[in-house]
Amino acid sequence: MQQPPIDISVALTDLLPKVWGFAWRLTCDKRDAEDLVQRTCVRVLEKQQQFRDGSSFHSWVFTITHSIWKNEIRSRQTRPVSLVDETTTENVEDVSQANAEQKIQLMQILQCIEALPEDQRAAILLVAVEGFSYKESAKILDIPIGTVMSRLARARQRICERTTL
Amino acid sequence: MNDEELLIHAWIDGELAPEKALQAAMLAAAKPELQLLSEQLLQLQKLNLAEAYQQSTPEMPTALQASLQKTILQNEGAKSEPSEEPVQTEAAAANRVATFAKVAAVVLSIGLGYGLANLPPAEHESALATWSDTVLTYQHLYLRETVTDTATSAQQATMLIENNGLTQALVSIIGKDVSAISPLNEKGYNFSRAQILGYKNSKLLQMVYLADEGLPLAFCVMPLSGEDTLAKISTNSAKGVNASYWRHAGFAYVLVGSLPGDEIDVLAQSLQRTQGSQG
Repeated sequence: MQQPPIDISVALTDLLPKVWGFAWRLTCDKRDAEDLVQRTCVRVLEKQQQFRDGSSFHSWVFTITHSIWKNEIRSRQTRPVSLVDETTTENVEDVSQANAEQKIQLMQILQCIEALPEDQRAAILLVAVEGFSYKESAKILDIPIGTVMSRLARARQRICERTTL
Repeated sequence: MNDEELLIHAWIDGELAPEKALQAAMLAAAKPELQLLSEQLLQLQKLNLAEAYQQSTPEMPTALQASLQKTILQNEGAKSEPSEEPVQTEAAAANRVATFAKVAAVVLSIGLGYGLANLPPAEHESALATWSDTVLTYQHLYLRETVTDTATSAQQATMLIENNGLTQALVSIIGKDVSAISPLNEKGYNFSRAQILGYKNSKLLQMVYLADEGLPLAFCVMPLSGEDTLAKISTNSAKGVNASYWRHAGFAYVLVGSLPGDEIDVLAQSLQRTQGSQG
């Protein structure tokens, strides 16, 4: 059954917190995250005619976000890396009420994810954090599903090797 | 990473149809290394990375949120009343113009970096004019607060300039201090923020200046190969935003803001004169 056309303005407004979260995790930097969200928003509005009703608006927007960021880091050939700090650990502790061992483990893992190569990091963020399927992630990253799977597996392998898992 | 391991990953991620999932479960039961892998993946899953990230992600800055919502609303208004002039509320105008500088820089990088790089010299000027038209159609983003919220120090900006090989482009204009651009300072504009934007292999420096009141003024610079066919300053404007742009010694420059076009032009001429005096 065909879905009714979505209202781009409403859908984008609703999605902004998720875009912000994704941008924050991709960039590991407040200013970069702000720029990325702004540029995503502009690009979405510019390209709204290209969105096909019935497809996932969420993954379409994330495709744009990731594409902008990919171009950005290509132009810089570097990216900042320090999202996980003491504050992060405290936040994780407060909310999840994990035990001390889990807390340390979690911190190690988040740090490890930040240190991953960009392609692997994007794959694990999309699947394990943002909750996209392999198929959706492949579309967002513009790569075959098999490549998503191998990047994800390599990312997890590295996490397991470098943490106490 | 072999196919069996990939199958285990897909199984734990819930990506497999029941038949394949059963196959994966049997593999894990039969092979100790796959059993270990599945246990590790389950343990990782149990730690709930999504929740950990959720809790460690700060709230979106309110200034950014407000700016984006206004942008979206403006888009909505433009769609519903395409034939009418937009209502010139102070907030809408502020949003539109203040955010222009950032987008202008992005578009500049796209236009100059790729659209113009391979054109014959004779076509550079008209292409730059087209680019300028494109720049001026953008009406998005950036409140004054967004700039102030993300201010950088002059020292950080200087490092940014040096690290991105733009010292040569700016030394005649700003010397070693981005906060001391006399023509802008005399107009009441003080340095607020610098950042590198880019598109593919082009880097673009955007420096933003704020006066005590009003909207930001952005001065953008990027390397540009080819002859300096636009040594003379060109201007463009749309909906209250004015831009003056020129080329000099392998770089492109643009000054954009909401000041009257002749004032922007005078400022641009002052900046360009400092280059001429050393070129």
